[in-house]
Amino acid sequence: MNLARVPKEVVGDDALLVLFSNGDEQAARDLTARLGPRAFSVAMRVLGDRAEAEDVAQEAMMRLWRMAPDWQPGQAKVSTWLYRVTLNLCLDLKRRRRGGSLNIDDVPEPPDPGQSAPEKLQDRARADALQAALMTLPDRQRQAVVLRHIEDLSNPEIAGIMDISVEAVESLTARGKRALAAALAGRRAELGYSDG
Amino acid sequence: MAEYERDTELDVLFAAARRDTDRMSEPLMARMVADAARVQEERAARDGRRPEVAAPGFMTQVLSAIGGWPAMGGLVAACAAGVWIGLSPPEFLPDPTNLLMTTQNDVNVLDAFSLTALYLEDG
Repeated sequence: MNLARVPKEVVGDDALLVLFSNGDEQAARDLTARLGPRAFSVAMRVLGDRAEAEDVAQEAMMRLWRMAPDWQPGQAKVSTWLYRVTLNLCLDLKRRRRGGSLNIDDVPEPPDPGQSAPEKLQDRARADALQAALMTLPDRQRQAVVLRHIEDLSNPEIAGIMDISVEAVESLTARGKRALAAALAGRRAELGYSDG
Repeated sequence: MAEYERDTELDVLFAAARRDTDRMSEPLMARMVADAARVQEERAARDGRRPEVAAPGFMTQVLSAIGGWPAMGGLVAACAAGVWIGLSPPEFLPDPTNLLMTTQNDVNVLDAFSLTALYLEDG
């Protein structure tokens, strides 16, 4: 499926959601292309399980579709709302299953045509190592680090998603990074930081 | 390890994770789009209509008649200006507070002599 992507500067998420509420099918495809990967990415990093991340991301988007007629444009960002729902769904899932488990290989990976084979292998090795280290963090530290350093969100936006102060976000990310460094200390040579 | 060195190494891993991240599968994307279509169909069936733009409400019709929210802003500004001019008029307009404070005895009425003079002027 090749979903056409409308540039965000042309039509914002708010406007797409209003169009979707009015029955516009293209708006549904645009919102899926724009927001679906974000929900999946965060769920994947927080849960460490592809199948569970797919279920959470699909459910998060379903809640977006159902909520759309009640959305108040201009009050908050749609993406902020979606991140918050995704994290809450991850939390619910973790409560239902006992313990966390790193099981990224459960579902076959889709092929990535963008990179060369060696680059792909190196990125995959580094991403896997990072994911393993992330799973050793407390939930809130992991969420804050994922939102800040992988989703590239600002501290105020993260504060809105996690319903905490900006100072608390800074504290969580600082402690999370120290814990990650400690968890990865023995793998520095293997990860080849100097290779770029 | 120095904090700077630690952060630099973590940045390498975060960058790799970002490149490795945007890999949501096509089947998942298709399921999300199918869910959206189903919600739209359910909503249309519940409302007893095709999923299209609903009739605008009364306020929306009023706003579009006068030119939308920008015109409403101008209307509000004009009303506020009118109230202000009424309460604090420029010099060439009568001050309403003076009129309110004025008693019958203070009203300046032309006396009979002046009226007679006027009639004589007209011949």
